[in-house]
Amino acid sequence: MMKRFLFNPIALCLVLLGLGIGVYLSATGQFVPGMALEDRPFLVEARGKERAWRFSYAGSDGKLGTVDDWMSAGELRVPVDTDVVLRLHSEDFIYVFSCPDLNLKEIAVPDLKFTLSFKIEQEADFDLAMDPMCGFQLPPGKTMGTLIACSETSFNRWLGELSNKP
Amino acid sequence: MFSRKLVGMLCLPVLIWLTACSKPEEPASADSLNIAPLAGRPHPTVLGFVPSADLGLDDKSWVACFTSEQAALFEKILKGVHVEMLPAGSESKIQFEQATEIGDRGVLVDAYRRVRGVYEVTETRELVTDVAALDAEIVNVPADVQESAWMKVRAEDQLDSAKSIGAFHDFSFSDQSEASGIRFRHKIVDESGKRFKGVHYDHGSGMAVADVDGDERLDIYFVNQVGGNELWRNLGGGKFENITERAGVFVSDRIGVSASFADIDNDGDPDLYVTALRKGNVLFENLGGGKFRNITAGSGLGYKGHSSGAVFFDYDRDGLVDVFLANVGQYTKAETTKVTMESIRGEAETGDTYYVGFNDAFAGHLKPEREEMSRLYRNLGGKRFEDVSVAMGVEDKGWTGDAAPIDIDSDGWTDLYLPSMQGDDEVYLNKEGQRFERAGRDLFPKTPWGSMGIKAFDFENDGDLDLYITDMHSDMSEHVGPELEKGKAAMKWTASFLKTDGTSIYGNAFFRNDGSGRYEEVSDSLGAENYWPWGLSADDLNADGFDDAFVTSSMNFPLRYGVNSLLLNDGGERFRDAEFILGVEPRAEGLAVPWFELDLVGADKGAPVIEAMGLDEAALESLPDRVVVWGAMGSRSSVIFDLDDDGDLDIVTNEMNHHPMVLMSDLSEKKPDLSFLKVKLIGTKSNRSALGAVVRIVAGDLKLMKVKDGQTGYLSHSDYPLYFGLGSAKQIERLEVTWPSGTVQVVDESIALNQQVTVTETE
Repeated sequence: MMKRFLFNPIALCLVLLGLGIGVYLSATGQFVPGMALEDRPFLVEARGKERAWRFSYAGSDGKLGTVDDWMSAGELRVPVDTDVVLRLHSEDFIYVFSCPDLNLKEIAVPDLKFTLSFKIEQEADFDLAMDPMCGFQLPPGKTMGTLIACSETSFNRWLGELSNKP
Repeated sequence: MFSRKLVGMLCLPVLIWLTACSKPEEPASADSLNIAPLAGRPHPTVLGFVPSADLGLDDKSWVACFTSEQAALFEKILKGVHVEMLPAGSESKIQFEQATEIGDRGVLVDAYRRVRGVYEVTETRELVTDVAALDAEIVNVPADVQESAWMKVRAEDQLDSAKSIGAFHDFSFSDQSEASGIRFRHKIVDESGKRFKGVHYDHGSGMAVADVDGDERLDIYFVNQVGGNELWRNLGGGKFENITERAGVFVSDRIGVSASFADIDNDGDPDLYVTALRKGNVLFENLGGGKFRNITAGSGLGYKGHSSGAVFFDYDRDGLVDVFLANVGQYTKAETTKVTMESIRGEAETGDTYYVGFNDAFAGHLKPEREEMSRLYRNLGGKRFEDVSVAMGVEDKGWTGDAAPIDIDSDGWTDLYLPSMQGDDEVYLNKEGQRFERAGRDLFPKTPWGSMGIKAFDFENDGDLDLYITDMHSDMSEHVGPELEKGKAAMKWTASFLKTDGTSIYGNAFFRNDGSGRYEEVSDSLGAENYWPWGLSADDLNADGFDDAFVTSSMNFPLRYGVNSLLLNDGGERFRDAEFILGVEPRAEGLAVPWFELDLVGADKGAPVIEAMGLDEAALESLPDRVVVWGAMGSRSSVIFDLDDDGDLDIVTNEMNHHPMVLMSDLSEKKPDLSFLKVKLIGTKSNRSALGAVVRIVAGDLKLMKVKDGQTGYLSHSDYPLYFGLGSAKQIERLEVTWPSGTVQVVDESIALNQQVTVTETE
């Protein structure tokens, strides 16, 4: 069966064409393996540690929480007009994922899981504040990170530049 | 934020030029100046004004030069010198006589009253060098403490409002801690200081009063987190002596939380129960004459956990006091670490340790595995107690720090109101001593989310008990300026964190009892809101027949100062803010004190607290190796009682990381027609402490009712006579006691005013 498929010139052409398109899109930042934007909602993991956020995007395996996740320190980028689900974790203290401009807020607590869903319709940058949780605050002017809503093309290009090293 | 000049201005050493009393022929040394007491108790002095140009210290705006008789100088140093905190660039003002001339020798004294050097005025090079060294001991003061103009505005507004207050307010309190002789100082663990994190250590420690030695004076037991609890015997006249060792009530090997006095064996003297963190609560039997012995072993009360307040009451009315022990929940790990002793406070190194708090301790209510059930213990007699929590249906796993014993449904059986510091409060109705039934949401559909302190008293003298509950944690959801302190918190936390599903009030609650078993929440209309409150003490501070409230407040490092609230009850209509009017604020010692030291190149290098203070890399570069960090002051517990037996009520506090305030009232001097009665109760069929007894007095137009519940403040349960302010009454028409046994006893002989009467339960 496999042999018949491989020696079928039409099938072979289709495979090569598909690979070529994939290589092109990847090179131009328009396609990243694993980032299936057509799969809604779009999942991102936010992990609080040492008073800052780290964000993870699914890598080539299409799954979050694996070794090939793409990592972003402090910068959460999402494509506009996309349903986003943020899974919130903490590795040390209690944090609040807080974007006052968008009235977004949810907590992150070690060993517990919380999620936050949102969709941003226009391209813009937002600060991620640190809310007081019975104690620590960041000094004035400091934030825990940035939330950037951008076009899908820009998003894919940025994602392609990410490392999968934490 | 970190102007050295500003810091210096705020935190000063004091340069004292001694004149007439100095003896030039003797070598100048600290010893020869008899300044030993200065090195004892930390007592930071806040000064800051322009020095004499002659000394070449022009740029040291924090150096104070003044002159006086030596004895007078030391007296002033011991008492402390208050200077208003001023924003950077302001012209300093000092409430102290300034130098008129410079003598020939001077002593440099630092913020802890340690003498740092003695100098000849003619040779100032060494002095200047030493002053510079002190200058380098950078002191970080929270920005909101530096900028204290809001205190002045608030004080002026309140003073302006005084004329509209109907309640008597022409008297004041003054902090007589120095004169009292009390040298106790509360000390924190590092997690409220240099290893700061949001963990329940910041709730501090309680205190309690009782006449431990039978001399008819109320003595004070202070609880400490580190360094040991202390018992201070009242000598009369506002003076105290430390009898901790002699009395045998020293507890120093564990983090102390609360103290409760009650007569557990009905032998006529108050016994003492002390709660502590994880290393076991301690029960002391009073052997008489102020001597105690530790009887924890075998008593059944040596619970080891995250205990908080302990409330004695006789739930089954068998004549023996039982105890409800509030356990908060697990907020620490098994890991322990050493307490840092602060050499700047003259502390010697010790082996004291504490349990490391969970980094997410404040989310403990989201984790069922951290629940820790509170306990109800029944007194079996013979100084033994039995845990009957499950058998009696009191299986409460809320994050509860204290409890109020109150007959909520007026059936003659004392119920329990349990404030939860992270969630819904709960109520357990006492079913005739046989069992308890949970009834929280039915009776109180909404309660404060972060309840801390609680007190039941008759606010408007209508013959039933109202409930005042303070809410600390809701105020932590958003840090607001002073202008919003009297409002409810605009809760910023998520529903996923609160977990109360719309049943919360985000601030203090005042539940007014309408007499039919219904409670209406009226805190805002009564003016009962304040900011960052811990607990409260309620009693009749102006002796007008209406109980007032003193609410301990403030969060200390790393936040701004929060004022203690003194709320005068204006004829049962509403509370009126009066802490500035009555001299409780501003504090005599300023708003902040040195909180801890950091070794920036050694043990504390890279500590998270450095970032929390707003010190970036550039700021760190400019700092010396060692810095002294300041924190705002704050009270935790308080007790209102007549400390000096002059007929008016005084207030004593237990502070966080500082020595107590002893706020003495001058009401007896300012109110010539002061009219009061103290009622000491002795139960016979009932428990001897008479806990649960209801006293009703008719005096002129006043009909007063008080319950002896022992609840004297946050983490504070005392054994003391009830105090009735009688306004302008000239005589007492009736005194009636309803004992826990059910006996109603009327004292029908003539009762003179302005005395203490003892009422013994009739057999």
